Amino acid sequence: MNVNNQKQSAEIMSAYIDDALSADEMTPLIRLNESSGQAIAKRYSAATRYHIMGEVLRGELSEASMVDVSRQIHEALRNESFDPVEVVAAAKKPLRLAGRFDLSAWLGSFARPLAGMAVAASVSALVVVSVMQLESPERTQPLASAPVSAPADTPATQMVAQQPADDATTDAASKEQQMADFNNYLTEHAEFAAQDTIQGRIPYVRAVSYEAE
Amino acid sequence: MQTGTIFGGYACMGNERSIDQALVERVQQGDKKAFDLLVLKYQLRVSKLVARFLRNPADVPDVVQDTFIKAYKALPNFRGESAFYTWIYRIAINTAKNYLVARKRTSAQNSIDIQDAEDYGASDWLKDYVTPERKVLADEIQANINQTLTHLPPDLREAITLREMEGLSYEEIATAMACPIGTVRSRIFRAREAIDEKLEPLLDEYSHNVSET
Repeated sequence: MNVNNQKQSAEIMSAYIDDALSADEMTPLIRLNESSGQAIAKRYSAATRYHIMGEVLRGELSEASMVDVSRQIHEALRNESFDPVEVVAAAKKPLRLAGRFDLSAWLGSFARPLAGMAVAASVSALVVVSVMQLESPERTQPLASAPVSAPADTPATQMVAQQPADDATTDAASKEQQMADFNNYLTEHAEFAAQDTIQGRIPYVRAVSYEAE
Repeated sequence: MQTGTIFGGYACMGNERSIDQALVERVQQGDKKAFDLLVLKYQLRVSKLVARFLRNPADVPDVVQDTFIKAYKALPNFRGESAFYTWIYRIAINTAKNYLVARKRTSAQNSIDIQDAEDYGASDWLKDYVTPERKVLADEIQANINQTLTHLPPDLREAITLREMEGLSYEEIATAMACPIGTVRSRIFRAREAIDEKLEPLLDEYSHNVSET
């Protein structure tokens, strides 16, 4: 590398640490970084000194300004078995690699779909059971069987005539029973409903409300 | 193109992210040397950030190194949705905090967030941990650089001052000095080279002093 090239590469490095390189100058920067080890070390030292220079001029020189771990990091990464390309590829690699069976990967490949299926099956079962509950005879059957009524177009006289003779006594008995049930219901309702109002809960307090009016 | 922002005393141009992203993509494709460039660019900023979390300056290089190695290992997952420096700053903070927890130490700045750490003055940290010998040497470095600066040709002095002290971008300096960006870049580089001639032997002495102590 001649003197002009050295100056040029040094200038590129100077601009790089200032974030002032244009995108089309990436290639010379990378090429500079691929030169001999000694040249790189010299250039890196200069770049570190440029940083320190800035710190001094700004009056911010500190011990931290002197930290240069670029060489140590370079060495550590050289010895590091990690390679980003391998890691990216590892995410896509098949379960069997180089004849070695990976049990955890195999289980993992089954666990996720199985868990999904289990959730789907549970939800489906819940829906089916709910629908069956809604459509069961106990729920659909009315509390009291509806009286058999004649078609709407049947004349009233015909309807009376069609009533059996003993229906009158049966109706009277059931009506009494219904009235008794209804009275019981109203009594219980009055007892319990009172507890849901202010008067029911605090009977000694006089509460005025719209209902009172 | 005035899209730059001031970040940690540095003017970041709009193309910074694209260059960083291009370097990240090269690393993701297996180019470890491209990662060296990212280390070179950000190690000072990461060091200063980490130093604000740790009470012992001797711990800073280790944590910075860990930060970059973790970042390298995590790079396959970096999708470029945020800027590289934002991403690595977060890793640095987490690494520093984990380091403190592992050492069962407490830090006065444990609760500060990234922006607070950025704004925190490095001089506060410097007061407590610089030995008298180092302080003398740091003062000597400062005096030499300032003296060299005063002897620089006015156009070089103005360019480096606007860049390092005022934090202007190359575009802003070009506007202020009414010259092309290429000229600004060249002037800044030549100013740095001139200062570097004085700085390099002093830093060698500083490094020797540190290694002895």
